[in-house]
Amino acid sequence: MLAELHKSTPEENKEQRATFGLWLKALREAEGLSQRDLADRLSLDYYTFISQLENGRGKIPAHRYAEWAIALGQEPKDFVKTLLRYYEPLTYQILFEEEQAG
Amino acid sequence: MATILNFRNKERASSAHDFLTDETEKLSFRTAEDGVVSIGEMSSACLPSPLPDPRKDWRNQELADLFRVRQLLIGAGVPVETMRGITDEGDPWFIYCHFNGDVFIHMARIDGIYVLDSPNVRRPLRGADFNALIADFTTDALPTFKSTGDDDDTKRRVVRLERGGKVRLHPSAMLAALIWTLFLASEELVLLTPEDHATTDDDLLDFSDMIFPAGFEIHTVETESADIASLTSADAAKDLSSDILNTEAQVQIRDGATTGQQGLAMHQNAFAMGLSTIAIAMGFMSEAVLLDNQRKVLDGLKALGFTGDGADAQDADLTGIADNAQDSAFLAKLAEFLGIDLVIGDEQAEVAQIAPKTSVLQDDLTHLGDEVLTADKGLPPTKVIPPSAFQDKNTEAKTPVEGTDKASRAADALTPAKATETATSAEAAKDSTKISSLSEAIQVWQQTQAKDLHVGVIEIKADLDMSITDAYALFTLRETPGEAQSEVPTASTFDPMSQRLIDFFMSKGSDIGIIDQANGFLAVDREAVKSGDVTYMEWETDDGKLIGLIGFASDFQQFDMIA
Repeated sequence: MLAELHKSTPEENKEQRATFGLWLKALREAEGLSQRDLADRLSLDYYTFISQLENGRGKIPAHRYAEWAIALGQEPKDFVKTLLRYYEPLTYQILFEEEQAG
Repeated sequence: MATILNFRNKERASSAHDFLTDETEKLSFRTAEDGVVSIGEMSSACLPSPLPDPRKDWRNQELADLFRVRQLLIGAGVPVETMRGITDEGDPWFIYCHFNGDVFIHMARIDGIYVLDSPNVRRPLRGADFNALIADFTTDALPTFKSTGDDDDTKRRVVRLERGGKVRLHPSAMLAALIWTLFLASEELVLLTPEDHATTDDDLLDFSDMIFPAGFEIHTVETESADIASLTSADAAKDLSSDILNTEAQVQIRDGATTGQQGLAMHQNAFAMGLSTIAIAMGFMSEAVLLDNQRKVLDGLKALGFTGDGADAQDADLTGIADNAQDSAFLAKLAEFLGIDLVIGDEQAEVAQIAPKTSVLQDDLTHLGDEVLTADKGLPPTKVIPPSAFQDKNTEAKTPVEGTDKASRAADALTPAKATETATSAEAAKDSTKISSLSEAIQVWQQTQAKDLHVGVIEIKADLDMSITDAYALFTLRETPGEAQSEVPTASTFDPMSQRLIDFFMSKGSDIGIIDQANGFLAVDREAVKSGDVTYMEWETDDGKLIGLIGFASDFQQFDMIA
């Protein structure tokens, strides 16, 4: 049976995204990239978007998940799985709760 | 494995052509004991700092403008969240978000260039300053608005702001209008509450679902039967006065807040209309959007029972007003939005039928002449005016101030133009004269020499023959009703800025009219108005009074009031 679901509060969402931002920053720094470098790799119009994401605001566009994974030197599948955990925690829980319980 | 140094281009660094041009030049590296690699002969001070330069952060004026934009959006009934930060290179950014965390405006200053991005622009806007951003938007980046059928830019009504021109707008006002336009164009506007009920494209003015968090309760009261004391209860007044962020919309979104829904709707729409008006004037927004919103406002007023002007307003017909709504409503909202009170008063009108305590005040003011006050008429009814989002500090329930019914004012457009057919304008005939400019509105008011104006159920006293000294004394006396004033404040008791203003007018010797406002006064140089070349200034005195001045720009420059 599915676990009882509850709607995330805005505060929980913010906390999730803040944690995701820190994780994203750690990946970038591990890759030895500055924010501008990462933005150049991703052909972004303005590199301040990276800083915004790392501060827990905004989202990576879904159609660019794979590009971001490659730019950060990550396996796309694992990268997207982690994204889902932060962006859609309830969906992640549904899909992977057995794996978590195990 | 060798550590590769990443050389970034610096403004003051030597160019690539200068680097190692001499074959005898050498570049050496030095490795410290802790393993840090540095360029041999260069001191660490010359190397880029790993920490961002705080001097590159937003300047105070920029922050003030950005937060002012936030306040304007909140005043327009769209509470937004903001956040700012600095990149690892020290470039600042600032975002505006919905309550759900979605970012709809991203602003940044990158290498000295301002960038603004939104889901509703084709490409990020860029410019050397805020004005350039706006220019970039109007010239190129207008993307998703429905065509009005007129693609000729030359026919679009666009206000061009030029140095020395007659129209001046605060940069944050223009920026707020731009962001407001982008917000309205957001497709997410109709998708915010898909679970609750279906939204339509006509719900642009209905922000109730998106503004208020889930579970919030709105307590509404009937305006006309409202207990003023409860509306200005200690809690509400405290909230309103304690923080500049406690705007009308903020009070509304507090759980259990008790306020007039009608007043809130009008307050939201006033700011929204103001922003829309500026957006149209600047060429951001289609007029069709504003006109549609305006019709909604007027329909809403009809439904709420706010009609017309005059003491017997309940039976007044809105159609006459609606006929002039296009121009007069635009001007009224724009004047209000820009802080130019033609009719005086502040937002959030609730009529307090408090018995005027006029005897002592009236005695003290008889020296102003019978033209100002008549023996058989007391001072206008006083009421409590909650503070505006930006300026008003009069939050004490006992402070007698003059004001106007906001809803009536909104429905009434430019009251002076309507209340001047007869000397006793309690049941002023509808004025069909079209007012096409702010100066014309002032002129019409002056020509009629109206002493008693009625806006809704509020009676307002106005006199354009009062001297500036008396005007200042008048609202100073009203601060302490019932207390006999031993002497009228003299010029020497004014703060320096007020004194400067008084000296300016006295030395000028031109025909000056004074419009008494709730929290100050507005001085109008009639010569400037007649010439059509008017400039408006407003400032706050040390004691919180607002002094407005309409006059020649050259006069202001002469007295160092403007650059």
